[in-house]
Amino acid sequence: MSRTIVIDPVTRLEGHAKITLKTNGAGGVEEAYFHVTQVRGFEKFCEGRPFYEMPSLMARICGICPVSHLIASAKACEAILAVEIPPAAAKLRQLLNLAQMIQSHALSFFYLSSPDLLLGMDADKADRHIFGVVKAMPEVGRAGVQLRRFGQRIIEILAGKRIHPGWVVPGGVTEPLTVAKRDEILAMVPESCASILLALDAYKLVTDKFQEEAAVFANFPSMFLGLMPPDGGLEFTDGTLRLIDATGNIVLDGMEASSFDEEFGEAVEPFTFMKFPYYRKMGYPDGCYRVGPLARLNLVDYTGTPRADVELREFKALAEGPVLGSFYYHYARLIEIVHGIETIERILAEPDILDAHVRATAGVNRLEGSGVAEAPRGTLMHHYKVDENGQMLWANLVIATGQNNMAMNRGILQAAQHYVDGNRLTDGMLNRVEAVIRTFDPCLSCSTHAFGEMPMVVELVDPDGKHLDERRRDA
Amino acid sequence: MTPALILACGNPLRGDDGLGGWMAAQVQEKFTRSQVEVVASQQFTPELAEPISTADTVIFLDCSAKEEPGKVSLQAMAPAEKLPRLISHHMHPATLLRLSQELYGRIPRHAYLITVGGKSFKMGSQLSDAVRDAGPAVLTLVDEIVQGANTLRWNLPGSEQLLVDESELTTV
Repeated sequence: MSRTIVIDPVTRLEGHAKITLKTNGAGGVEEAYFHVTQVRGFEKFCEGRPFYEMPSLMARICGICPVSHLIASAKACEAILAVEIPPAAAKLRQLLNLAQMIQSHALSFFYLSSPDLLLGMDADKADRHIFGVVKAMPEVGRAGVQLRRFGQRIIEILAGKRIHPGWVVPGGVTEPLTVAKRDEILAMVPESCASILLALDAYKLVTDKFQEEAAVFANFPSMFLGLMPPDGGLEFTDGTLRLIDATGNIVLDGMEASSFDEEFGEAVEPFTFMKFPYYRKMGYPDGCYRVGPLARLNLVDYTGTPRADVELREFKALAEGPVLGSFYYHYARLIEIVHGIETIERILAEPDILDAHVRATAGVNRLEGSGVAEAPRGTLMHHYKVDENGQMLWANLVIATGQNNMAMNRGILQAAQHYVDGNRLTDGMLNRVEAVIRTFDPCLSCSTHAFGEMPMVVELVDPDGKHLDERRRDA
Repeated sequence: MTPALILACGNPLRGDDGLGGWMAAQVQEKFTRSQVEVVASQQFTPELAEPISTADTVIFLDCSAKEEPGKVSLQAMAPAEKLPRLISHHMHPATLLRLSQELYGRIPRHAYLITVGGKSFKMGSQLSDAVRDAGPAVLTLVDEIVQGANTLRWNLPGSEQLLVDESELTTV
């Protein structure tokens, strides 16, 4: 007899979701669905607001990565203003975005995923949390707490508060950096370097134990998308978009944010509120691509900072072409933290970082604008249309987590088919299916920002599971 | 060592939940930085374990959805003996104290949770009159704890009981 296995809620991720596995008569998994069960309304309720309010409004989408929304939104507004922001403002935004990436990656790795990695996928679930990690490896626990504080403190120093800061505005930032603030950040760098190197050592000690998981945790060919600066290297804030295929060949390069809608579409499915972005030329679902730390490291030949480049070489040695296994998102996250700390130190040493000119001003010069930034979880797009007075007419956001939606669904099917026996369930089996999702570090608050006629299926079934009736609402 | 650490929690855009930030600003104004360090945040997060470990006294300030609107309560806090089933990135004060103890091997000599019952948690940055009226009592409590923990009636950290009579608190 077929059986439906529901994992609800999926734990240790940002937001609310469930997973449904459908088994066949022999207990094998035939279908797997990642349902995102919450919905919000940001794209709709911003209509009619002045466009310059958008960065602050959009930052409220998320308490983990508000900075990414601030930056992508401000860049979309600057396209409407048709201005170039002052160089010091661009660097200050880079600092802020890197700080957010560090704190978010630290949250993902140390608080949410390290219980699986350091204690084991089959460890007692009562121990699979930060206290379990602290008990097993207290120095790793302290490193995680320190790195998250480092990132959050920088955001607070630069932008006034850790969550939903308002410092990034269309045209630049509201205040320049002072010497005292610069020095306070620099003073935290050595301890943060030590913390991340300790975490890398801990990861490398345990990673060999997860070869089986690495082979089936969303490990398949797909394309990869991310930002690239003109001179190469790892980039989070500026640059143009590059798409590569599963063998590393460049599919698209130098793509501006304004072309995103021409190249990428968004499909919808009835079982989830999260959309499914895809590369239009290959159609849906063949146009599957991944974003985020794994994609970013697959896109670059070098990061641009010395210690991170050493790690990148080790990462690249995992495969001949792009690294396809999503398990290695974890390693990529740690490498990006190394790069972030090194880059923060480098930027703060540049004399023009203290420049007082940090904001450009202009009126509405275009009626449409797009902005892109790399959020911790991947590429984030904001696209706005305004009237001549600058009132918002329309907005579309393409969120990093959504761009990994196809890969996440394929990934849980792959892992479930390998691990789950529908006749004899164990906690370790189901935890591995959840752990596939955690490799992507999805942020569901961000990805279900949309509003409107969401696709929905309501099924009526009797106590024996017999299908009685159905009401369907297509998007 | 930080003499007194005030950790205020709440979302300023959700009505009375904004109590934490509102009180944090008042505490910051009343005391010097050598007396207290004030941290206002939307949630009590694990990173707070580190500053907690270096404080002599910690006071958690929060709004309560369970208590009667405007009611001020003071509770001495001890590290949690039992951990919640799900732990991610926000924690109860007792869980935070335990994290501080396990990570850094140290907790403050005195730890308290002050709560004020909230009336409305709807979208908006306005506090209800009940919560606003409780502000002076909260400030007085904080003042007494900061000024002299050794002379306080409730100087028994580790006890889970409510150490001050509720009617007495609301008239402080």
